[in-house]
Amino acid sequence: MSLETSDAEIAQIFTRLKIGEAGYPPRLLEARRIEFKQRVAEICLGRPIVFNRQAHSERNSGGNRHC
Amino acid sequence: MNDVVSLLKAAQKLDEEALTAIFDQYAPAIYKYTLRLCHDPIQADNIVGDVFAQLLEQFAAGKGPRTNLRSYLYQTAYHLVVDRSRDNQHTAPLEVAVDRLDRGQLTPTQTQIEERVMMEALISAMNSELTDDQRHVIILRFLEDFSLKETADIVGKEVNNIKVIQNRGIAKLRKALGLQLEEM
Repeated sequence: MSLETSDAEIAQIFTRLKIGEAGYPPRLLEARRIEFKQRVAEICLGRPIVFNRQAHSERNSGGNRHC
Repeated sequence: MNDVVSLLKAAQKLDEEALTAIFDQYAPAIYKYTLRLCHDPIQADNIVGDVFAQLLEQFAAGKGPRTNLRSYLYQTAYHLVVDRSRDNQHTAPLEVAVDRLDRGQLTPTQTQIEERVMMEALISAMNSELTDDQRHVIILRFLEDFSLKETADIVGKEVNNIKVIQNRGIAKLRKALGLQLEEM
């Protein structure tokens, strides 16, 4: 190993580091996944409610928009 | 590439499957990236939660990324880390990686010992010698494999500026590693 460390050597060390790095702990990842899916469900459920309100107000004001 | 584009289009329409697929595809990488920057597994996990919560809010508001979802997610994570790092001290960095690599090896070869010394020196230099900008750019370029342009977009700087930051960072690492070896 030379005293002059080349960029290629540095890149090689980074590659080795990538292999050795710890991943997302499965339990934490799963908990985040469940939380995210709940948020998605909330937003997806929330959207038609908002839309229905809009449709309702449009119907009351003579609009003919349908859900 | 088409898969990513169609996934993004579906996610913009708040398609549940597409959104979950995006989470599954990118959450582990965003976690690793964030952990590299903040060195705190709990904070990294929290930031992952916030990154995807923000993405969802953006889509729900009819905004969010139209292209390059990966850069967008890294950019969001980067800003969250920068915002929170002002209050936190850097503690245990990437050393875990070095330990994991050697685990289970009872008699490491001379090459493995040299590599380990180099890795420890590199990690130490990244944490002690580099500025925050240099560390972020080097992580994005060397560990996350982003292009100069993508890196520039993520950290909000010009490509030429990124080149300068990268070169200075590499020069510091090279110097630190050279000095480390001379001491051996």
